[in-house]
Amino acid sequence: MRLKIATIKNAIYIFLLHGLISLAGISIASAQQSEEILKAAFIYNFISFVDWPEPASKGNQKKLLCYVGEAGPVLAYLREIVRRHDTKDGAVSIEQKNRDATIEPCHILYISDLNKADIDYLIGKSADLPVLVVSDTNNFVERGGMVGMFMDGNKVRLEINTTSLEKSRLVIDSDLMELVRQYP
Amino acid sequence: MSHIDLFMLHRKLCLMLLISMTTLPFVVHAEENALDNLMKMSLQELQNVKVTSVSKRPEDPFEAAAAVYVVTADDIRRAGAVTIPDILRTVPGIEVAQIDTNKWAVTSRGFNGQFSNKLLVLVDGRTVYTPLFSGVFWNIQDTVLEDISRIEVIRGPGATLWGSNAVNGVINIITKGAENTQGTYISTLAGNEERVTGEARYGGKIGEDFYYRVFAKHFDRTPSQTLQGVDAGDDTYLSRTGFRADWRKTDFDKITVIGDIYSGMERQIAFLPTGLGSVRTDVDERVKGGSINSRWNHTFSKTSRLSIQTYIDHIERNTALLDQERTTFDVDIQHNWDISDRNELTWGVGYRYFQDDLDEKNINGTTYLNYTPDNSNNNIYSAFIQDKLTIVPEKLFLTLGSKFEHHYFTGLEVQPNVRVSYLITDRQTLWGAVTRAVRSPTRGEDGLDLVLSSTLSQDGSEFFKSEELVAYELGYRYQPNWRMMFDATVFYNDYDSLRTFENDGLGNLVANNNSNGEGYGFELASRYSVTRNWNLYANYSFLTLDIHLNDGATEIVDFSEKNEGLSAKHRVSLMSRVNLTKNIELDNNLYFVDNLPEADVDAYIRFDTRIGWRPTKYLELSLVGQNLFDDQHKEFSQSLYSVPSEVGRSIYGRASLRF
Repeated sequence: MRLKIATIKNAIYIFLLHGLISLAGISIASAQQSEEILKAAFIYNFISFVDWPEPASKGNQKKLLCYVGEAGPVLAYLREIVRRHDTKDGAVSIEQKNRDATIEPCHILYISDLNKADIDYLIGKSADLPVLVVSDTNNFVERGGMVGMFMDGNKVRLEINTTSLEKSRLVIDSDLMELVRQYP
Repeated sequence: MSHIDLFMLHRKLCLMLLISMTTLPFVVHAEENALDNLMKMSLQELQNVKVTSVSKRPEDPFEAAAAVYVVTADDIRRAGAVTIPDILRTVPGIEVAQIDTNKWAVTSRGFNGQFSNKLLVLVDGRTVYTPLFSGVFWNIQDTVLEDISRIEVIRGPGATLWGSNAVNGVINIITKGAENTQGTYISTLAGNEERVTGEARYGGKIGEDFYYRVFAKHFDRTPSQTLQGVDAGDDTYLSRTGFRADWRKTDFDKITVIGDIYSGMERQIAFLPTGLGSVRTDVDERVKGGSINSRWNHTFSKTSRLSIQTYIDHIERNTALLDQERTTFDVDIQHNWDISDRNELTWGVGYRYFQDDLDEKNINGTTYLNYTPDNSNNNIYSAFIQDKLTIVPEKLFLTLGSKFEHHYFTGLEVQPNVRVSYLITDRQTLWGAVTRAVRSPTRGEDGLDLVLSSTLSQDGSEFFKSEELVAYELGYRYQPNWRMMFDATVFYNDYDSLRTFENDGLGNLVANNNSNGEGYGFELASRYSVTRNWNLYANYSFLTLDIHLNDGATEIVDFSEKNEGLSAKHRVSLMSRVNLTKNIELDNNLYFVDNLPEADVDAYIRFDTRIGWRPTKYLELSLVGQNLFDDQHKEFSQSLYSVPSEVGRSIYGRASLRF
């Protein structure tokens, strides 16, 4: 009988401890995330901070988010975000593309491609188009890319190449501009 | 263990399970909230969220010290190909020749053939190179092409990382993670050469981090024609079903399980040598098999990552000549450790076990293919270590490494490499490499007795050892502006102990390592963007092989020097990718392949075209014409007992639905 009580006691302790750890997990989850889920959240968020010029936005409130590069976790999270948060049925859609694709219909072009040559190509190809070009590749804004995501310690930060932005005729919310590192 | 102990253990397990079950909803709830919470945050708040682990970016192919080329998922879709070899035609420097409806000869930098033995092919890290008589059964290397993430092609030796038989190249077929194949995909195609292909895939998820997909595919292809325009009797069909599951257990642990089974038929007609001349025989090959592959990736820290992969692969092929069965078990452990900013170490160990059962058949009193022994169990043990050193940051890199492999026929093989890459400017890379690689003996070269004619046979030998290569490569990549890209590689391959089959004076041609040779050439790849919506690609490769018999070699049938004439000296491909409108694509591929004197193949031009239309985001329609310039042409000769057949003009239509 003593054994039985001990077992039940143990079980209760373990249960409580386990529950506490799980609860702690929730609070940690809100402050700490994987790099990929965070980047996906940033990319999706950009939609509400950018005004696309006419005629790109004319008569078409639907936003197209284009992803160039190998299918990876960021793409999967983006699709999941759209599935859960796109309440205005079909207002945001996602397409995976490669360098040969037509990019004019894109509102946001996220480049996850690894090849420097392809990144330069996409920066060149999108120049002057009203497309917000985003990437987390090294030296992206220095290479002429528009919005770069970079790691500052263990946080994701943003930088914007203002020259590329001007050429694109996109207007970015001033709140966002205050948050980012501006280049040059 | 006593009865009571067992009872207690059982109770403990039940208790643990119960606790896990009660806390599971908390955990799942936490994961669900993670995304929702993030979406509620402002950009400023997002900038303050800490990242649990920073993933390391793989090496940029533009900076790599190897001749790397990556075929992307969209490249595959736009190639208009229905088979993996046809996709590989678009890769610079890769030799692809279709032998008949169900056989291909694929290699890089020479030594092509149905059993070309110097190219290593992997599917999600599982080798599909057959150790029985070398080469790859291309007809069974298939999946839903839409689910391939990329095909990574390395020309030149890759033995240090990949192991033996990665002598002239490595092809790595990598499928998409299940998280990126969610939803339903249905595709069907039919045409004059393609009787029908149907494929279906469904991808779903359980909980928040467990993704899966299941798929089924069936293809059925019509026979090709012989030079005389007669049905070559080589039609083929294959059904396959499989799955992939990806579980991102934590931010630091990812578990992947991939599996498939297939069954099909590769029809063929053989002309078997007899005392009364050759006799036409149907030797239809029934094929079936399957594999299961699991991988665990664990991140210890930003600088230390571990992966453990294990797979089992089973294959059965039954013909009128031979029944073969083979099972492979493999386990590989790899650890990446960034010792410092300037020092990235990769090391690993591997073990592979083969078991085969090869039963010869008797036709009209003759055994044409006879392996000795019929059954075998063999082991390969391996280890590798490679270090990438940054000599000058962002400028000069040196990679040193070696594979150590203990092979069941040859013992220890050491396969080192030295690679240097120099980033001249941000848009120019110069690289060089010196590598040693070996091609290990197959079961056939050890103990196969093969009837060549009524008086001659070709035999394996227990004394046959590995073929050896020391390769010297130099490459240059340049991107002058966004419209242009240029990639050039020159190579010099020094081969030794190449295979010969020598006369023993008794009518037996016995395997030996009595020739050597040089292969040299260059490969050029380029891209030019005419407009934003029109890209042109031009590739050219030049190859020369010189094979010399050693003094005293007694080849009465030319086996080794024949290789000089089995690879084209000049190959050109021109490709165009045009977006006519935002949902209409026009893609053209033009190939020139020089003659193959030893395969009796004339130089030919092949033209493939595809027009694709996406009327809605759910539907894609395409019309493809392959080999449009001529009714039919010959691309290769099969080596054994076969009638040469020709590749015909193929036109097919395809409809794909994604939802």
